[in-house]
Amino acid sequence: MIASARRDPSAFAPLYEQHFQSVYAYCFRRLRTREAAEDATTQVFCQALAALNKYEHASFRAWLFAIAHNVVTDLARRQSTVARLEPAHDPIDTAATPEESALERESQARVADLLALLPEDQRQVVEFRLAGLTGTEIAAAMGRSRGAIKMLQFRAVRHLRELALDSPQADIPEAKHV
Amino acid sequence: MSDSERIQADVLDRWWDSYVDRKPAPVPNGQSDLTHLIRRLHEGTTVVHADSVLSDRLWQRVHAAAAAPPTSAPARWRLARMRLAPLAAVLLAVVLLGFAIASSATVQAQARRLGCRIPVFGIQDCNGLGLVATQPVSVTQGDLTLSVLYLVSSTQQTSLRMEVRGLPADLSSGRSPLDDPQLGPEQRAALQSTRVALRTDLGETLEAEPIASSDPNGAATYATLRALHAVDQSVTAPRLTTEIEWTLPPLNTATRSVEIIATGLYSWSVRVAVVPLQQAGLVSATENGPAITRDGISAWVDGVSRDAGGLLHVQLAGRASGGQLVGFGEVEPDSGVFGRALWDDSGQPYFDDARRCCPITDHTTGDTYFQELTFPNVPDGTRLRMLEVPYVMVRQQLPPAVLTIDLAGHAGEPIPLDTDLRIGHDVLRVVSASVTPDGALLLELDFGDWPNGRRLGLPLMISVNGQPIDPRSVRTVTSDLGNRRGFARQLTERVPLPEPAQSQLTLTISSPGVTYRGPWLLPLPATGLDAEL
Repeated sequence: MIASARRDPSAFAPLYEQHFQSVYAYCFRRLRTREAAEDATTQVFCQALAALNKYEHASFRAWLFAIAHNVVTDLARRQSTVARLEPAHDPIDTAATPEESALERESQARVADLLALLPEDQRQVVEFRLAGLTGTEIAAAMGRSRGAIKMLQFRAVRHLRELALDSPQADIPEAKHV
Repeated sequence: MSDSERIQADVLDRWWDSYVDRKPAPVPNGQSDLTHLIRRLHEGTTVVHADSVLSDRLWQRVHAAAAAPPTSAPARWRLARMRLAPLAAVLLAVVLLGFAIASSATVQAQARRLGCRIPVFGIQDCNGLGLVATQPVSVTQGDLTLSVLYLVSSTQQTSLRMEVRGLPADLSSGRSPLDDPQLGPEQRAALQSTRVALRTDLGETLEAEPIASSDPNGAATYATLRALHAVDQSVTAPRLTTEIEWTLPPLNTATRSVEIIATGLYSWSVRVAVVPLQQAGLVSATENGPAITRDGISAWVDGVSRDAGGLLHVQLAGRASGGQLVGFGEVEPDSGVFGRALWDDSGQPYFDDARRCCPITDHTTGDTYFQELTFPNVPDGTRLRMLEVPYVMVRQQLPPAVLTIDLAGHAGEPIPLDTDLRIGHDVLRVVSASVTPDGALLLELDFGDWPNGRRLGLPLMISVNGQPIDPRSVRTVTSDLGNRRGFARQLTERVPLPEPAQSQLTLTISSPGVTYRGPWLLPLPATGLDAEL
């Protein structure tokens, strides 16, 4: 499939279809606005398509998320200046009431705020986990050893636990029961 | 890290692998708190579902970028930059674009989008007082080309976006500039220390802090290093392109030209002409519609624009005197009751696509709440008249009501109560209560039929014998409107009871706010919109 896509961009479509949802979701979580997530997702696949000849990873998904990480890092840097203007939110269960939707958005924002308190490499591991990557894929995406990833994520979770304990405001919301 | 911690890290890693694989392994000994936290992280992060329409739209952008030279979308620009974009050709394109802005309706539309829908910023205040640069300008010094991508001044701020092309990449890391584009330390330091000043033809000077000392949080002026891109990865000395965005105070509306002066290692200046939006042939899309005020709530259409993909963006705004406005009613076209709809002058409604695909985009600035709606199917030339909003939500601090329930002798059977609780200005009737076998309290409630056009909002905030119950753990088990429980009159709420079980329960019940029923009919801004939309 990748060999075909190298010759013909149209053949990239199945790879796009397969990974679009997870890449978009990852970008949306990191950037927190629909417009930025769309822009980032487009850039991720454009860059992947442009660099397909250089692809030599064991895992295409890991390689794609490595690109996604670079893209959202760039966009997040510029977005930091406008976060206060446009804190967008994840989609809300339409069964929720208006007030619950507002509360739920705040809860999701708290998760994002909590992750933002982690050192960048720890945060990155958790973000990749939330995107559904396995430990092996994360190691490939971050160019780190498997053992290093294990340590990073262990430290990250312990760090999150401390943060959640230290700050009631930063508590991680329970699952919604609607 | 000790051996013990390494083992814990290894065990946690395997558990997490199994969890993301949806085959969760047993919780490892001594790590239940960590695995619980991980579960909550996953659960607290709503899965984002992008529908096929969005997927298709972005694929078109990706495919077009791969197949054709870029035209307008930023992603296409960047792909083109990565692929090659010889400098001379780019400069020529920039010059041609400048001429095109003055003559092409298509480019004018894009310029209007920049003026009124600044990427990332969303719809901004660029009303009739706004100024915009009429053409991009570039200057070259040695290997570097600096371009003013756009300069827009609203009544609130001036945004200046510049591109620096031809920066040498740092190859010391051994990584490809495509994978990890990095400036060399000297270049980065020079860029970050660059100061920018705007000197107007009125003799006024606005200065912005350099990136290195910028504080985007609350400062009137600041700068941001934007995306960094490799231009040409095939040569031995790859060059990078970066963008910097500067935010400064607004320009005097009488300004007609601005000299942009950058000082630092790269010292240069360039003059750009600015004109009022209307004189530039650009229709202001963000002129406010008239506000509608009712029940102490003012709401208005704060801006309308159409993006390059044809999507119509409508920004709503509002404020409430007795609380914080937190939302405009969601779309529900299928029910025939609720829905946010644009109406044209022939009586045709167009519903927004929030329910179908899109996350909510909203923010609060000061006491004003903004929410952006998008409408996918409004044809060009449609004469739009008004926006219908079914309800607005206002968060308020409402005093709780107290209810005491004696459970003794009523095991497993409903306890008729028929008690009216006054919460703020609204009344909530508690019809009955019962305790389930697993120890939860069921409250049968009647919110009334929108008395006075309003009702209390969910979720209820409940304390039992002084112990607060997490609102997210209170579930609706029956509703006379099914899924639409937010507008139901009769509900049964299931409240988990704290341990140990008590024979008498003292409940304090409140609500996070009030929903005001519409419809709210908000006129659209009149100036120029009919012609544009």
